[in-house]
Amino acid sequence: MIDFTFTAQQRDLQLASRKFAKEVLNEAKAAELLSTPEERFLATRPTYEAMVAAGYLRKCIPAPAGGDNAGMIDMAILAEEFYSVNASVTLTMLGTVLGLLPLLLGGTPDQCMRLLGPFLKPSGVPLAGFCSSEPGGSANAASPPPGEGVRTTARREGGNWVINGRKKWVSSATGWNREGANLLCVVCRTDPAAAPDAAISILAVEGPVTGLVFERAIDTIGHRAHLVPQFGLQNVATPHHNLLGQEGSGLALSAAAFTGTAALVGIFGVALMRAAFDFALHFARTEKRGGVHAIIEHQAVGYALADAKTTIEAARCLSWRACHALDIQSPAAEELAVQAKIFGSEAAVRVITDLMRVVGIDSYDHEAPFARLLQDALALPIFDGGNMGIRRRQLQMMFKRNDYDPLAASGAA
Amino acid sequence: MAIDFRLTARHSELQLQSRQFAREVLSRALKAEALPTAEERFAATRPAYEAMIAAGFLRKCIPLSAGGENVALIDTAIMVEELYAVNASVTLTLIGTVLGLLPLLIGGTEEQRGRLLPPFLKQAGAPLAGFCATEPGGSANAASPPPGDGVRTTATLRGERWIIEGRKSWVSSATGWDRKGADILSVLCRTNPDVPPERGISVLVVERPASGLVFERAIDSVGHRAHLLPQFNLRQVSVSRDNVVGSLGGGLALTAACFTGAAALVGVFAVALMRAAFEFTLDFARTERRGGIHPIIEHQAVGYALADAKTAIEAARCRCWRACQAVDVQSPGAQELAIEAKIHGSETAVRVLTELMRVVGIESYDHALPLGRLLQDALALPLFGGGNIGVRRRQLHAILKRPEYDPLTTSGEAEV
Repeated sequence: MIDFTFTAQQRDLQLASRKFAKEVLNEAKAAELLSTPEERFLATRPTYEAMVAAGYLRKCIPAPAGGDNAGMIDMAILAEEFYSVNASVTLTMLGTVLGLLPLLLGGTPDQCMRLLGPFLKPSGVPLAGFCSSEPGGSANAASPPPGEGVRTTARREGGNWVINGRKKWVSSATGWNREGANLLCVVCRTDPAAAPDAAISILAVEGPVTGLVFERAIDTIGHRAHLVPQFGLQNVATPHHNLLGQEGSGLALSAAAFTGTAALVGIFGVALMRAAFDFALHFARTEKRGGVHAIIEHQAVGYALADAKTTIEAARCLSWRACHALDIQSPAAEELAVQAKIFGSEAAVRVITDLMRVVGIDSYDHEAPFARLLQDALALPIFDGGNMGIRRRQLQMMFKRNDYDPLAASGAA
Repeated sequence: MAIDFRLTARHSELQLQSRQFAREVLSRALKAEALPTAEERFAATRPAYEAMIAAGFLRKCIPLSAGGENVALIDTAIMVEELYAVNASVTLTLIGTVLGLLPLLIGGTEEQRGRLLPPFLKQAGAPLAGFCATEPGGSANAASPPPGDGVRTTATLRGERWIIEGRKSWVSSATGWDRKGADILSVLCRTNPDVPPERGISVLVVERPASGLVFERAIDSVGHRAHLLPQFNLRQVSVSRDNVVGSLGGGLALTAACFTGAAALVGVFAVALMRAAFEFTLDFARTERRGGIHPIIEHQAVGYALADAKTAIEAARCRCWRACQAVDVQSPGAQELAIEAKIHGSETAVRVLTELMRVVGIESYDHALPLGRLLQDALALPLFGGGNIGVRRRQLHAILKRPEYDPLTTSGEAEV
């Protein structure tokens, strides 16, 4: 039945996460001021360790796989609290979850048992990376020739797959020390002759990775203390039993992973907007800017805040809807998840910009949080499947299907 | 209970029943919109309205506690989306009548309800009610102290009768099927000019027939063409003291309460119009080649415009459901969420309908297609039910200014 209330456990999760974010994640923001991406990333290690020790990584791994996760709504609650305080470190944790998704979605119980261990114990700083994007672009990963599609290849050699290629924009992939994350799930072409929907597979590679060649840590506009490296894979060997899912089903498995994350990106948008709104509201209620009263008395300010809050509530609703649809495996889940991603990400960029205008020139100072929040938000429409090259294309494809019913996503078909 | 978006079996049944009724009865009433005058168009919808009453749809909007069948605003939302998507004019006549009854339903005594509601509870006839708030000259500043006009309609107590004098405008169905008045008019009027507006304005119920009700004109509206929006006078209209609804002087607060529930429904109206437009445009895009080599849905610009429209529809529907549920459970965030649903839904509808017209191209400019009518209907949504600039954003502004306002009240309410 249509409902928007939390269970008592969810409310507890929300409040506990909020407290943890305020007490622990907040401090890690200082990392963002260091000079290089790798220094910034390394400076977040103690905080990431604390997140893992407090059980938050386990909270993102499904219970059947040995974790403590009770569903996407719970993930959304947790993600919103954390991301609104520290996007970089939160993305390191959630990027690790993305890195595990091909295993969780496509792996056998035996593979899960073998490979999930480091991520289930509430200690250490385990990282995982989903190695999908490549230099030159991956929106056309499914392209047949003459398009390049997936450029990274893997061939069988004895009992191993041997991977060659380059990857880029993969969260935490090269690990804390350039030797690789604990686990990499690598999208690669395993059959050079087959059509794309039968040619591509996902291979799990355990760190440290021999043949991983660190090229550079991208100096990103936002998520400054989050590592997004560019790297080569030169004859990287992984045992044949590290193939995840069916050989050749890599594109489908990849799409499934990115459907789960899409709904959460909507929540990232909500989180950033919420933080910006909080600051702008407080500013408006206290600052007179040389005038006779607090600026919130001005109608233009009040209305801009009203519009921002209106958008935040819409984005949160739609993201929850998508999360719930995923939790119940609704046939409409893919459509809703993609929509939540598009809506939440683009709303965040727009709303944060609008709130900067409310505050005025002082928002241009890094002492105010807007610049960082906007810089973080700018990633949302373009990562995790860019909205132009991938996400809207997904929706278009859905609409073209003969059996598409617009009312299916409305509980209304 | 927890976050959930699934319809119960009862909801599904209501939804399908409404959809079927809309398809079989309401769609035929659309031809009323082609008649030359506003009054002719309205009169031509009477059979469809009577059919709605006979099928129980008005009872379905009146709470169980008042003798009707409604248990939740969310039920109304599900039903209304189906009806409005097919025929906004007639559906608004229904919902406008519910709005006209809301002061009684929210603030009336048992005696008043027992006396005044029966015509609306029996599944027969074509009973109408109107909420007479808006006045010529504008009512966004109804709460203004002097020198602002505020509420201009007055009521003066003479013995046991209140004598109402004033003019009203834009009140759905107020002058009835025959210019002699709706069955019930809930009239907002100034009952005490010597105290501040928050204590000096009341809602009085005028029962048909009311001598002194003077029809001025039926507004020729841009959309909702077969819905009656009259401008009229109240000249020495006399009502019994027993017809004060809610507390004497508490009219502004009662009005605000009525318009909060209504706000969430306006968001649903918007979803309904967008849904109808999307269905048409999707079908057009999948079948029309417009002289090219393939259906236009193959073009990325078309696919993306449809994607954006559908995204907007899903966002609007979700947040309207949320607002409805918040009103149902009397959540502290309900008023904020209802107003936001109204603003967001209504403005999204105007934008999305315009964009879908661009997808179809010049053919959308032909009244033989539905998009023109749907946009004309949508244009009302940001302006009525409390205009978004003069009333609704001002309400949000006031909410945000409260010292105790917490932005997170709307997120995380746990079940009790």
